Amino acid sequence: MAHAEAHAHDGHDHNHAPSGIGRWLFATNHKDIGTMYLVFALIMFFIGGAMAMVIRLELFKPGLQFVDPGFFNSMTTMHALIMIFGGVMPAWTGLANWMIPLQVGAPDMALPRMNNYSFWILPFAFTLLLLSFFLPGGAPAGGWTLYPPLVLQAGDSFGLTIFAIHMMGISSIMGAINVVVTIMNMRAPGMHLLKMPLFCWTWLITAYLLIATMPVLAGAVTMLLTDHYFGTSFFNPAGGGDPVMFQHIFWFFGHPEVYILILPAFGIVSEIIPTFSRKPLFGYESMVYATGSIAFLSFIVWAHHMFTVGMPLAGQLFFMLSTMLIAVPTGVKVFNWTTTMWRGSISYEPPMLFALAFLFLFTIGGFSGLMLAIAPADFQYHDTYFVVAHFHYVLVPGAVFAIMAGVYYWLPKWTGHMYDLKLATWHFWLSTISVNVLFFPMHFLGLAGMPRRIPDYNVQFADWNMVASIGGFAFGLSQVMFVWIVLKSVRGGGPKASARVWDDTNSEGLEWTVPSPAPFHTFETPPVIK
Amino acid sequence: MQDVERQHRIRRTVITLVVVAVGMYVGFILYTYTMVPHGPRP
Repeated sequence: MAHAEAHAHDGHDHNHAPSGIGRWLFATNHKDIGTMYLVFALIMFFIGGAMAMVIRLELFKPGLQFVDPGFFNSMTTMHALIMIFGGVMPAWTGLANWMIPLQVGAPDMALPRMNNYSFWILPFAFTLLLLSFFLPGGAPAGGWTLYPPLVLQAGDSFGLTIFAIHMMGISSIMGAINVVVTIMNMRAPGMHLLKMPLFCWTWLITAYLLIATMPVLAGAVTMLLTDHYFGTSFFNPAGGGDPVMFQHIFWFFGHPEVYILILPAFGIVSEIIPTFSRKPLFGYESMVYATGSIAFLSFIVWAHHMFTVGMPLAGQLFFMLSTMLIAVPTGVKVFNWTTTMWRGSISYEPPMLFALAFLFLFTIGGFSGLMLAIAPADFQYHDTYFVVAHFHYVLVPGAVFAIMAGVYYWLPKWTGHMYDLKLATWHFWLSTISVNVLFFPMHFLGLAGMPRRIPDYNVQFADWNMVASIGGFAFGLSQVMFVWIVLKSVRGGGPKASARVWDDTNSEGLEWTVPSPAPFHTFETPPVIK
Repeated sequence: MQDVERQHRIRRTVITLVVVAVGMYVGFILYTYTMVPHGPRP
C-alpha cells in the first residue's frame, strides 16, 4: 500500500471555489461533482424509499387497502429502477468522484467536462422517468426487468422509460470511462497499480464491467423500442422473434450489474476494517485477484436468473456450477476481512459498525444466493419472496450499508467537522435492527410460497407481512436521522477534524495527507510516493 | 513533453473504451437480428 509524505502546502489559497449557481451548473471540480452525485442519490433514495413505503403499506394486511393493483405494479417497477439507477449507482459514482483523485494523488478526474455532462444527464433522465406517472396508462409497471411481451403492453410511458434508460446508460458509461482513464493515466508517480487503495481497485474493475454491460442493456431496450414503435420482431414470436432471447440479453447485462452495485462496497469495507482494527489489510493482492475473478465469473452466470424458462440439463448444470464458483473468491474476501480483525485493536465507530453489519448481513444474502443457484431448488423459490429477501439483503445491508459506512468514514474529510458519533451510532442500531425485521421474514414468506409483485395475498402470509411492514416503516424513519447527522456536519457542527481523521497508521490512502476539509484544489503538485 | 504524452495516452484509452462500448451495443443488436428468422410474416 502507498505511503506518502504529507503534501507541503505552500501558503497560497487552495480554496478559490467559484460561487453562485454557476459553480454547480458548470462544475468541473471532482469534489463538487462528487457532492452533486451524492445529493442526487440521497434524493433518489428518499423518492424510491417513499415508493417502498407505499408497497409495505399495501402489504400490511391481506386484501386491497390503499392503491389499485396497476399502481402497485408501477410502485415495484419504479422503486427498483430508481433505487438501482438513481440511488446506488450515482452514490458510488459520487464516492468515486470525491475519493479516486484524492486516493491516487491526481489533481482531478482525467476528463472533467465529461464528468459534468455525465452528472447533469441524470436529473433529466429521472425527471422524464418520474413524469411518466402523469401519462395515460401511468408509469411503467411491467417490472424493472422490462420483459416482453408484458412491457410492450405499457401505455405512453414506454417511450419515456426507454429514453430515460438510454440516458442513464450513457451517463454511467461516461462516468466509467472517466474512472478508467483517471486511474490508468493520472496516478501520482510511484503509485503502482498494486499500491492503490482497494476502493480504487474495486472501482476500476466496476468501471470495466459498466463499459462492457451498459451497452448491452442499451441494445436490448433499443430492440424493445423498435419492436414497440417500428414493427420489428426481435422479441415478438408472431414475427419469428423470441421473448426468451430478451431475458438472455437482459441478464447478460443484469448479472454483472449486480456486481457493479456491490464491488465498490467491497472496496470501502476493505478500507474501513483495517483502519478500525489498527492492522494492515490481510491479503491485499488476493483481494484484488478475488475482485477480478468475481467480475470475470459475473459474465458466465446470467441464466441462473431464468432457470424456469426451460433450458437443457447441461445449461442448468453449467449455470448452477459457475454461480456456485463465485462463492470461492467471495469467501476469500470474507476470510481476509475476518483475518484482518483477528487480534486487532478494534474500536466501534459508526463506519466500522456499518462495515461489520455489512460483513454479517451481506454474507446472509450470499448464502441465500447459493440456495437460489441450485437449479432444482430454484424451481420452487423462483419469483417468490425468497428472491426478494435475497437481493434486498445483498443490496440494502450490503450496498447501502457500505455507502453509509463510506459516508461516515470520509464525511469529516469532506466537511472538516466530526459528526455526532453518538447519534450516528443510534442511526446504525436502528437501521440494523429494522432492516432485519423488514427483510428476514421475507425468507419465510418465500419458502411458504408467497409470490413477488402482488398487491394482495392469502391470509396465511398475513403475520410476517405485518412484521416486515413494521420493519420497513422503522427503517425508513431511521434514515431521516442520517440526513440530520450529515446536514449538521456540513453546516459546521461538531469538533474540527484533523487531516488524519481516524488517528491511526493503517488508513493509508493519500486522502489522509491533505487537510480536512479537503481544499478545493488538491495535488496540483504530485505527491511523493515512497 | 510528459504532459503531451499523457494527453495522447488519455486519448488512446478513451477511444479504445468508446469502441468497446459501441461494439457491444451494435454487436448485441446484430447478433439478435441474425437469430430472428427473416421473411414474410405468417
